[in-house]
Amino acid sequence: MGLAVGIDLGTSNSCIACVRDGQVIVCLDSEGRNTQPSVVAFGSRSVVVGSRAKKQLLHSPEGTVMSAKRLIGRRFEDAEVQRMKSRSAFGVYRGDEGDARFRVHGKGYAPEEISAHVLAHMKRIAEAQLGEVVDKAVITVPAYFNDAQRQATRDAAQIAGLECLRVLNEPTAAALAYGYNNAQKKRIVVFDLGGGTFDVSILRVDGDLYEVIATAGDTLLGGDDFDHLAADELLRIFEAQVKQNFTENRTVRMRMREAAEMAKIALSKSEEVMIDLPGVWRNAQGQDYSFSYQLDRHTYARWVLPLVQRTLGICEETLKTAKMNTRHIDAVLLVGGMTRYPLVREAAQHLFGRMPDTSVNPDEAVAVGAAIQAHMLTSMDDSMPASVLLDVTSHSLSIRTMGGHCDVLIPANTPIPTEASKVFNTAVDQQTEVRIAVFQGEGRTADMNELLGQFVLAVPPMARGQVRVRVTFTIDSDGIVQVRAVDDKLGKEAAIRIEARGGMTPEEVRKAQFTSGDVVQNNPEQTRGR
Amino acid sequence: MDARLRTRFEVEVISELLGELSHYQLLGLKSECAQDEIDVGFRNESRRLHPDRVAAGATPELKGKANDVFKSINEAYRVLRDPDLRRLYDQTRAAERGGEEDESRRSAESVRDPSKAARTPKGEKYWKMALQCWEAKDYTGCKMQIQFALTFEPNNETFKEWQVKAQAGLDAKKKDTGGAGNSYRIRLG
Repeated sequence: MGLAVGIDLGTSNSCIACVRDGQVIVCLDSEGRNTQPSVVAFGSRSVVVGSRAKKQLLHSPEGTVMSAKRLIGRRFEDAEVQRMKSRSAFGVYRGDEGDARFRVHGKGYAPEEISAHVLAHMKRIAEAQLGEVVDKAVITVPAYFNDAQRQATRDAAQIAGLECLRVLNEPTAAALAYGYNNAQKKRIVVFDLGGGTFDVSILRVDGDLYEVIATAGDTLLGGDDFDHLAADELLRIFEAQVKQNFTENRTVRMRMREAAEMAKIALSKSEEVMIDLPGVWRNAQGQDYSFSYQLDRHTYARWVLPLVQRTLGICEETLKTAKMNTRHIDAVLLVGGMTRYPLVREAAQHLFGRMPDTSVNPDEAVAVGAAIQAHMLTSMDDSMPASVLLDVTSHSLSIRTMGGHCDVLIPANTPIPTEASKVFNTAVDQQTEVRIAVFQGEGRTADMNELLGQFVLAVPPMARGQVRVRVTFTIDSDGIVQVRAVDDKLGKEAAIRIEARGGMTPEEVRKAQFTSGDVVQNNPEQTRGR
Repeated sequence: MDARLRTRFEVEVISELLGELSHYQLLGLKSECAQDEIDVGFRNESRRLHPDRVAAGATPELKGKANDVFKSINEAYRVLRDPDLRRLYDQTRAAERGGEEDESRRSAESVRDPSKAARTPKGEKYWKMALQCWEAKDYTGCKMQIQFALTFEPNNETFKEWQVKAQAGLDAKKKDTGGAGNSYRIRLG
């Protein structure tokens, strides 16, 4: 039996940790880095992942996939997918089930497969450091991830050859990492602004019990969005300088995005930064143009303020849901790379009226919490105090009724695992099917929410109203929805078929699974220490 | 007993009893407990019986049972933490219990006095006729009237008891007349 680890599978960076001999170990790569870029580069023969892949980004952008997490579990028509398609050098296309997929060097990849490469890379780093096989993991996801995104994350683990012990919410994991060193009765807020997503969770920690009271977020609000926003501004300035439109020029766009990211990192430490991009554009006549611009914190703040305000708005809503105000809060945890940026820290500090707690490492906390949970779920020894996480579902689960309205069966912030059932009658004589459309989201009408799936029940043909089918919706500890139908009269399980669930089929997942051969071939230098 | 083993044992036992336990019992509370004790009960039972407590090394079957137990605890908490839902739950329970008490009182009375056995006006109408037939030793009529009464009160135990009695009376009568019939036929032959 192998080791069980915790993996923070981030949009931009990932981190892996493990509990051994009662100690939490954050695994480092051969150069001592605690996080790895979630980037996968496809060469003509091999696949490289992490920092080496990120280095390929500039000279081979069409073969380098980053931020796959922003597409996982999404439909091709999604606005974010279209945005990514227009921004990226690699292709994005519509899969058979309507899901978004990548096309790299003419070959198609599901986002699950890209994430699987990142997971396998993290697994190898841990195995190299620990000298043991890793085969089980708790994998974290944004609390605001929906059913499809959670399911796709599970599939990614399976492809990577990891048994997924639990899909754990990132803020909950961070709270566990924090509480492990600060066990006392407290109400804490976890403000988690990562590379691609934002989550806020309010928890009540009472010794070994971690109870999520309310959670909310935005799965399209993170460091990436800060970079794109700043890149747009830089591009506008450059366009004005050279009197040229770069909307269709991906290379210039990518250089600007890169510059925006570097500038953001520089501005976390200094008041201003000089952006210099020599020869960023060559015109049709072969003349080279350079871009240079002095950016200060004040200007940057003006650009990104709308994003910061969105995080604050979500925090206020969540406090309201928890029936609390900022005076009730005992500690504020900042997690995720973007919370290193001074403007973000100051905004959170201002809203909650207290200095954020700095006892947790914002890059490692989520992986550490996941590792503690993985240990609790697998270990029979009592070397660590056991804790109980009472998490909640972040979206309301509803079904579509007549007129396109939503009938909520399980409201958001319900503790999980949970279930709810409803009896359906046939409306037409001799009806042989009952169709149930299930949605996730807080909108009042179905079209404002995310379609989770269409469930089709086969029923015996009878007079209308004679058939009664009880449908039970379960949300398990991973936040994944399961549907079961029972014929109320016959008392037997009714046949149920799921349509429009999207993502990879179980068959595809099985086929995509990495064999140990792939691993050795693709990353020979990473297999040392085995 | 080892704490882990004890939790497993508790999960097994509680999952067998799920249908019978009240929301209060699931949270380890008395039904007259104060509202603020509900949170405490939920937290204590979560600490004790959360599925993750038994996850390490458990069979899928045990994990399933632990999930079912916890889903019931969650449901109990959902209802009891909301004062309005709790009141509604208490009322429903009181009505059910009242119904059960009424039921046992009634059936005890009806053994002593069959004329009080009916519970619906229509049932009573046919029941009275059935008893009149009984007095007149018209067992066929009695059986038929009870059949009608039963369509209005299908679960009336006294009706069912008397249906059996009427059938027995009919059988006894048949035996008598049956014997006579035989002799008559012999006479014919």
